[in-house]
Amino acid sequence: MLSVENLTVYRGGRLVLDNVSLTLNPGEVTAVLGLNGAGKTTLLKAILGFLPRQGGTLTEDGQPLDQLSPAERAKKLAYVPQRYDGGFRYTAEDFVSMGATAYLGAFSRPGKGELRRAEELLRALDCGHLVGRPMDKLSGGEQRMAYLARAMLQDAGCLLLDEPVSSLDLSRQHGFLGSLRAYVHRRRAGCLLTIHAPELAYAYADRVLILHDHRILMDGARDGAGFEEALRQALGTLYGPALQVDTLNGALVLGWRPADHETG
Amino acid sequence: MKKRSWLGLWLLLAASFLLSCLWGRYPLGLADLWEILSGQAAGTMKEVVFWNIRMARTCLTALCGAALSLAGFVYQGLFRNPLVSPDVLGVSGGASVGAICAILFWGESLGALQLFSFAGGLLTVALSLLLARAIGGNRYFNLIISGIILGALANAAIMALKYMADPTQELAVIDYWLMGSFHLASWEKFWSAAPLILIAGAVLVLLRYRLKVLTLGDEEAASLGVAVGPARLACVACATVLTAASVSVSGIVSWVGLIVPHLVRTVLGDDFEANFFQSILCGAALLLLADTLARSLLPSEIPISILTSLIGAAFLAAFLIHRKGGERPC
Repeated sequence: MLSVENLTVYRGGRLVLDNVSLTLNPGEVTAVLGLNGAGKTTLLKAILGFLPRQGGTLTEDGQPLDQLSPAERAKKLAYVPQRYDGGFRYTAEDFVSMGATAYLGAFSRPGKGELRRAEELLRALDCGHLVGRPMDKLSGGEQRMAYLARAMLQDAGCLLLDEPVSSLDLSRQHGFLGSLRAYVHRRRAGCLLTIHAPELAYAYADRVLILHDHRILMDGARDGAGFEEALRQALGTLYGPALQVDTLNGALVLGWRPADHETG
Repeated sequence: MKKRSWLGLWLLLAASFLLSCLWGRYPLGLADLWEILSGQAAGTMKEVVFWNIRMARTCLTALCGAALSLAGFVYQGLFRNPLVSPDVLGVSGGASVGAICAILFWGESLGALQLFSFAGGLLTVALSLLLARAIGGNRYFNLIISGIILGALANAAIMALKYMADPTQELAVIDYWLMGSFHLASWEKFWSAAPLILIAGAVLVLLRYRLKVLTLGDEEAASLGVAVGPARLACVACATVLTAASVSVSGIVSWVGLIVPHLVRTVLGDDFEANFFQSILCGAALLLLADTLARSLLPSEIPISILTSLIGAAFLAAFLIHRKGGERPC
């Protein structure tokens, strides 16, 4: 269980996160919604230790994350960045096998065993066809799947994903989030992902967290009492009266009606 | 296919090694080589030329070619940029300042020249790193801009020193050094550079997988469990030692560190760890060929950077044109 308490982060002298606290429970997908600039990415990067924070504590099962070596930390937290930006070319299985880095000695490298495991993980995600193909030639959706496979190989207690589905087409979005959710539930891993689409958060997250004005506006479990009402209210605060929210066959449906638009 | 490219590289290296040993103002044939190696030519001119001149020069050239190419490969990986050369942090400029100081103030002493150029190279890179830390912000950007600043300062110092130099003698020596050459190669030079180069190279061999993970970028590498700061510093230090040690014995040999890793990636295919070793072999072989050309094209010896720059620039142009129509190269 990962706990974030009273996290405060300034970037370039500007307050981005103000006293944010949250917990990531094992086997639970937590989705973070928020407007552009609300601090979603900052939250992720501060937890990962990429950004200095001005206050707050990060603990995993009571153990402060700051005291861990990079390798120990990598066994607790896996990261999926917003986009693939490899400077050089690697095959997909080679890329996935780098998830084993934290378990290797300083001078060792992934061997045949890690490569085989990487291929198995890709196949388990229905991505066997990516084996042997260079990462930079894959589609955005395929790259995401390779990242997921790498995080699975890393076998960290918590997954942190920065807008993993923003650039994907509709079916790939559902494919990715479905695989992620299945893995998180099976592995009993904690999971924090930032996302822009409330309907996807509603469909795949076990918990929804909304960041607004540098603070947490809403933090609700999907099956908790009053979840839908709280979500509607929070979305209303975010997007104003133009946003129309409804449910249809258990899915969240969104509409947009601009203020100056006369409707019958 | 993979095996064949390794075999090809080893054959290329062996052939260029042999060619460099035999070719020159005092030509040796395979029959002479047999006589020398079997001891039949003991005490003859042939033997002296072969062991004391040719072999020393060939070994030193191969060593420098390998060191410069590996340094280029490492720097390209660290900066995640296939167009970076080992000079990016100012090592060549600093080495030049050191060498020129030695030429101006210590005259003919080759030992001082070597020591000063080596120290100048290391010092400049250390200053670049400190400046980058003082600038802060984006690591790639601040390192590159620090390298540019230190390079410019070194360049100013080079110009000032050249301006002070005696134009009839010292200036020519300086200019010749700045164009690089192996004509002063000796076993002494080889043994003074080889330990440094072998140690730095061995550390890089051990760190090659960490370097590969670093090419994903600092944040991803850190999230995968790499201690980014120490790993990066160790790689920069080793690559700098490789460059400074080879520049200190040969003068400035341009373009090899930039072109060879490129050539290896385009011709032999992308595979980070294989490319690491291929750069070493290919760098040694190509510099041997360039050096053999440099001492045999004209009656008098040509500075080697003329050839490496010419061939390197032509290759880069061809490579960029090829890329336009085809695959991403790196």
